[in-house]
Amino acid sequence: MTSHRHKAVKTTLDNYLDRISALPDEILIHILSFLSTKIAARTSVLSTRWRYLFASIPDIDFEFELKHYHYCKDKTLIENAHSWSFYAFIFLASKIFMLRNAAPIRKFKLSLGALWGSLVSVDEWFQSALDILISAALSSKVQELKIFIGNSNYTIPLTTVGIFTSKTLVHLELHQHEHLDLDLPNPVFLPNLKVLNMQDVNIVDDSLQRLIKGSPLLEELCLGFSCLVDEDKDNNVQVIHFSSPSIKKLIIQLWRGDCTIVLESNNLESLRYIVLGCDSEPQAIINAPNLKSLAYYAPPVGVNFSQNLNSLVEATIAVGRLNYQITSQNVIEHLNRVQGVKSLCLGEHILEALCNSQDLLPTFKNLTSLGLQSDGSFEDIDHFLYWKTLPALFEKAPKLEAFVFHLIQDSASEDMEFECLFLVAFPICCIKQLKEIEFKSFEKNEYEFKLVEYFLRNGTALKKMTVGKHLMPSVCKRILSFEKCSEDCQIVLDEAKKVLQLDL
Amino acid sequence: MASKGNLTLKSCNGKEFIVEEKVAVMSTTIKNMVDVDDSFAQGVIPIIGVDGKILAKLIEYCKEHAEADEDEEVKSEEYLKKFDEKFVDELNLNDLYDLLKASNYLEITKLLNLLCQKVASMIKGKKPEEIRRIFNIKNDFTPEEEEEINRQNPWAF
Repeated sequence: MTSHRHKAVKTTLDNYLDRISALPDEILIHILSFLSTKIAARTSVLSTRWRYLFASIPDIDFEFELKHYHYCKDKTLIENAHSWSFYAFIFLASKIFMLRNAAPIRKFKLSLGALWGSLVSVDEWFQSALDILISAALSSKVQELKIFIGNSNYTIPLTTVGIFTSKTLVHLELHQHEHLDLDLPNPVFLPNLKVLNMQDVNIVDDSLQRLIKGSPLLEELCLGFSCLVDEDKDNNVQVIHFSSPSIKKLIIQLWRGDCTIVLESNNLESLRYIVLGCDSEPQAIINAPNLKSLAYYAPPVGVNFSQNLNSLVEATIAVGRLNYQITSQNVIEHLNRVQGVKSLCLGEHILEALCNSQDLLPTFKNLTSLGLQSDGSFEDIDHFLYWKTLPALFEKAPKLEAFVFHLIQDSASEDMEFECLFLVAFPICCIKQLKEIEFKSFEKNEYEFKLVEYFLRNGTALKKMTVGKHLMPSVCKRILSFEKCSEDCQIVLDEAKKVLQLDL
Repeated sequence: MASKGNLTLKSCNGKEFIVEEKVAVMSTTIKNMVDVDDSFAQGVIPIIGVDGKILAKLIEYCKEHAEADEDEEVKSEEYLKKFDEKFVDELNLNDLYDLLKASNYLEITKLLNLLCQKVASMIKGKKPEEIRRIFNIKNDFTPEEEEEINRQNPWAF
């Protein structure tokens, strides 16, 4: 009896103990490191124990977004409120650096939203306050630096604070609204940089070459060019050289056609080349004899591979957002280059262009997985026309056993006689060779249901049918109710999480 | 390096657990002990400051994860995710604190991250008053001090 009562008293006592605050600093800081800096900073008001703990988290993100003041018509008031909140933001940010006392920072992110542009009184003080934050992060041995500026009032300081001479940076991302003139200081030296991502850039002179040269460990480069045309620039085509012994993964995104990309690398394994809406053809000369993965979203003309692509394992071939007339000859040339791949994904327009030239298709002797993808073009497309090409592809791919639907455009005419279309695109004899079918996305269109049903009913060799993403229970139920002819076919459904957690 | 046999772990209140070595070395602290000194691998390893109940919990967690590392087919990523979710959801606050301390001391990084993430999720989206109530945090600021902190920090509040 006594021990029972003793236990009860002890439990009640425990309930009054502030056990969490008794945990060592390192555990509490570790807990706070799973929160955004903003939310971690809110814990400073809990008690004196928590007052300054948040300042020691290793990853810091300063996301500054101005509030909308819809209800207020007084412009001066709004400006004052904006200036005040920005001042408070800088004050807190500086305080964090002071409290850290130069403790190393692992990740630092500075992000200023678009509305910030309405801050009229952006003067030199604000500019230098932000520069100082970046500079403080760099002197705290930051390894990952990300800067996103959503307006043109503030320019990322490329030359003054020492971003491009940091010995500790491993990962660097810079994104300046509309355009960032990549005019780099001399010298550039980033001895530990592995990942670099820059968006909306304009390359000035030989800055890119110097950057690549000064980053001996760079493995991954993602470069998005600015879509703005520099009016002052003469109309000469800019030639941009990428040659690096270290880069393994390269992503190039172009908006304009007035440049030539020259790419030369023996170690490059993965290339994503994307051309979005330009008025003239960009040119690319690519020499990458060890390329394993190629994703090509660009017109099939204007690219020149100076080596064969025998090393290629996977390829995506699509056209990007262009109004080019694609000829079947261009497409066939393209496919000839990648005929050794194991996995191939084709854009709708590529298939459409092939519809009258199926005899010219090469044999894909290694191909085991074929995918179908919407290729980002704005133009409407006749499903019947391009699906008709599929049986010819099946025939040219003797080892094919998996078919993947990436995002399919939902313009597929709902009234069409589905069964008839399916029989043309995926005749029973073709389905019989398939072991795996995957729908990467599922938009719940009627034809998608019918298609899944059709495959399950006719796929005698099917081992796995995967349907994603975030399916509602009713969708799952309907798919599971379909009759399947292959008994050991596993159906994998990506069910939506029941409770969506609000990210406050 | 000790042979791939079993290890005996002893809690601070004298409970002994015989576990496979691959399970025990999920703890970097134990791994270092075994790597440095073979005798640990034969004898009993005392786990200071961790009682039998908490040690059993730790072993339950490590067992699942060690088996998953070995055989992805049976214990898939999905399975582990569900296990982790259930594991932390079933803990009361006191066990949560004890496990936090134990996993920190024993350097079971995956578990430490999981537990810290759990606590972080309990803080997220809540007002200071609610956070204090959930964790029994005693507010020792004067109202003036509290207001001063709030005033200095409008970006975060």
